[in-house]
Amino acid sequence: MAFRPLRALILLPLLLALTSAAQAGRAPEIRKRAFQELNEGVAAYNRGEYAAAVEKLQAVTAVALNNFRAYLYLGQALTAARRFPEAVDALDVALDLEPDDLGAHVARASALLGQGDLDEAAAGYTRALGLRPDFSPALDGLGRVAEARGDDPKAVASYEQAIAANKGYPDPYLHLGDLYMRQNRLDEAVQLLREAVRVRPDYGPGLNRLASAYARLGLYNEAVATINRAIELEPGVAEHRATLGQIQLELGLLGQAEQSLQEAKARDPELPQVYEGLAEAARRRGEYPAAVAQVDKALTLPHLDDRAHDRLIERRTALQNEEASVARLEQAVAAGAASPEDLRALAAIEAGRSRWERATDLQGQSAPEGIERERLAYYALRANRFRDAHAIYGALDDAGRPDLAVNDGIALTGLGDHAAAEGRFRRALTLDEKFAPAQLYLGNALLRQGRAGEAADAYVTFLALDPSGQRAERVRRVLQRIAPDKAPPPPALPIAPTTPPAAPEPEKPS
Amino acid sequence: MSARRIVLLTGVLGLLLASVSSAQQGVRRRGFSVKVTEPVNDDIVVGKTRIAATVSADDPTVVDRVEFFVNDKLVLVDREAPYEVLYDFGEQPLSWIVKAVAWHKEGLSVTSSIVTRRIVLGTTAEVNRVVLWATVTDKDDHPVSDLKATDFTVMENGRPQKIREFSAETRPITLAILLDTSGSMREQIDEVHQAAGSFVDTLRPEDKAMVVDFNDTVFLIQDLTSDHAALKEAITSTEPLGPTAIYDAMHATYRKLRSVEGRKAVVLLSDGQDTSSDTKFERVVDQSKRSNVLIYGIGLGGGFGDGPRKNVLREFAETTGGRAFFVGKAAELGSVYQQIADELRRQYVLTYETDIADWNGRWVNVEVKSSEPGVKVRARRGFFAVKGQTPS
Repeated sequence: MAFRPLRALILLPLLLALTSAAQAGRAPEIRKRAFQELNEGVAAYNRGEYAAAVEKLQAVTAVALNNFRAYLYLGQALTAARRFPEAVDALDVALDLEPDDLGAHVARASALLGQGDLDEAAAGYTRALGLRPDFSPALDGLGRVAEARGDDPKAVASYEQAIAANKGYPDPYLHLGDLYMRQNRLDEAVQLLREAVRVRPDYGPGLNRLASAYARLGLYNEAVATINRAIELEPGVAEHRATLGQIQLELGLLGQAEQSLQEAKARDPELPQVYEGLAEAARRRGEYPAAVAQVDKALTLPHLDDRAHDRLIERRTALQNEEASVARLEQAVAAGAASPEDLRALAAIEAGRSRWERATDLQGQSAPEGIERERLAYYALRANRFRDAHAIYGALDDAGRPDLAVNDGIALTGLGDHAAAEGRFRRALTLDEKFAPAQLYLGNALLRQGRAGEAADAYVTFLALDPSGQRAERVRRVLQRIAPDKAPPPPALPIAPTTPPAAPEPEKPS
Repeated sequence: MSARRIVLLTGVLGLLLASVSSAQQGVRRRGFSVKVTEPVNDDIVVGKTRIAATVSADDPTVVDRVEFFVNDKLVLVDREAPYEVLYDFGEQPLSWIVKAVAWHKEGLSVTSSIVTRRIVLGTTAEVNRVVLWATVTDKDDHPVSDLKATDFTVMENGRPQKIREFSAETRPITLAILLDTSGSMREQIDEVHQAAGSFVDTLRPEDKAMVVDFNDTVFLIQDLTSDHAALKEAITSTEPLGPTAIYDAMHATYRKLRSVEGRKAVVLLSDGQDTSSDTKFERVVDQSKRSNVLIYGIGLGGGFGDGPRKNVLREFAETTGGRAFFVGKAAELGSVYQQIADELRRQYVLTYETDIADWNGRWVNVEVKSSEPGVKVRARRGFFAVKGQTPS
């Protein structure tokens, strides 16, 4: 084997270091352990195991007094664990060691933003921009400050600047997507979040937000697949499991939702959405004291921002009011003394808890007429009692209202009579040719009859009527599959579409 | 000509006009810029402070106005050079975004901004109290320990100050023992271990020390303790390897000592020049001025001469009231460490109340003198006038 002097030169210091470590005096041992713990801490941080990362990195910074990387990661891990004042301290040291490090400036500003110190956060981001005027994370940070100050136009401008400055940096897509979600601009939000995932397919926060957006759009299969991918990438991140729990709640899978939320809680006991989710699960079970207790736990969490605090207080009051109403109404029902209004009120509460069967029974007992009878049909439809629903809608006739005709069509779809359903959807369109849901369900009915070409036309018309609504994304996906030439550009998301043509959501009675 | 062609031509003409206009703007804008010149980035600003900006333009008459903003609040519109404004930043040093927007007469604007530095202050009680530790030596360099308050004079910016408290310092001291363990120390490391270990034995039971081991990285091998055995074990476990980062080590040690109250000293041993610090020498000197920590520097080996390497240790020592020693061989370290121990045990503590009125962050010169003939007094040379930051 040839002797390579250069390699020997490179290996010599390493060999010396290893020899020193092997001799294991106290100082060499401390140095060796610190480097190991630094690597372990960074790895834990990257897996989203922030508490473990903090522990390891604090051990490093206790001995390695000038290790910039240890302080930077410690600050970021503390921020992720919402220990903001400690994070600021750690990042102060990081900046003391590397005063011109852009990442440290932004990380410190983000910790300040986390603790609500908006002025200092803005100053920090501006400092970073002083070092590099097009530094995307700093522009993104100024957007977050503006958003926290309630200045949405300024926030949007900053996020857009951040995206323009670095199209490969995912955070501004996420934050702008969140802002659009808040403004109910769902289609734009999903486009942005999908772009975030496209530029960084392995970025947990991007997958998390996209999963939430899919859930908002009713794309539950995609939502579950996306959040599971985030969990796979970052098994230690509590937020991902909390989001999975929320999706499962929306799907009515209470047991699974509670399990996911408990798993989130085990990873981070200070996450407000975990307690809100557990409160909702308890409410759905009718366990109001337990639900209120979960909200109370959330209210005692440190680092709770004002917006979350107000939301929780409102939730607590609503739960207590609902508990009182349910107690009174159940007593009246048990004693056979419930008035039709009592029965309807209890039915509405049960419907709000997704207990459609009971809601249908209670509403049926109330001898409903008019709008209340429509409500009964709706509950029956949601309870998959299609025959009952069709009977009521049929008897109501459509009264010239396209929504009733559509719901009757949905009931017929549930009974497997797609041809009859098609007829009802066409009837709705004769009543109002611009009634977008009728186009959507017509497309579904045609597709189920194997008439993909006609279905595609119906979907295209639907998209023209409702291009950015809740169902547009799902329709685009179906179109992409059945008629790619008519579909908009293929979605950039690297997760295969799995949802079959729209699961019908009946039109709610007004 | 068809309507379509007319539209096309109009469009092309519009584009042409737009590009001409843009080119003219480029000419007019060329060289048009603004810069905030006072304060500068990371300055500490308190009270009424001048904000100034300079505007560069080929033709100064094209400058319409300069707008000054502090944290997005418009504080002045200045239409005449020099562009400046006096602004009251309040008593606390905070992070302020100071922005100047210069407007060209043709509606174009350019911007420059800086961010000032925030200092988090603890209690502001007794902010006027200044504590000084003084070491007095005779002509043979032996500590003099029988002086009285009346033997001393404290001058602040050339004005004599009344000494409020005076005593021989008997309270515990906190020490940082810094050992250069770069590769060049290999030959002498055993003697260094022995001398530094003996120094530990001079500490009183109530004193505390820590051991910092540095080459190009800085490690705390033993945190503050009174346990002599632990300190000696830490010292003797250090192994020489790698280059030398004296300034990084000093910088990190200052940070470590910042939260420690009372009398503090650093005893730094190195055999050479800083070769790998990220921290600049000036920054560490600035830190030594800001903190009330005595620095004792020991230069080991014949390579120091009278050049800059010697001056580094001297600067640290003289700024803080400590002392620099230079020895040719490690065998001489024992007596140096003994001298440091003697000095630390025979210091005086003097307290006075500063009468400075303007807490503007500027340097305040302090000098401690003795009327006793033939003696030399060493004490820190001053402090920065920031409320809550006086040496105490």
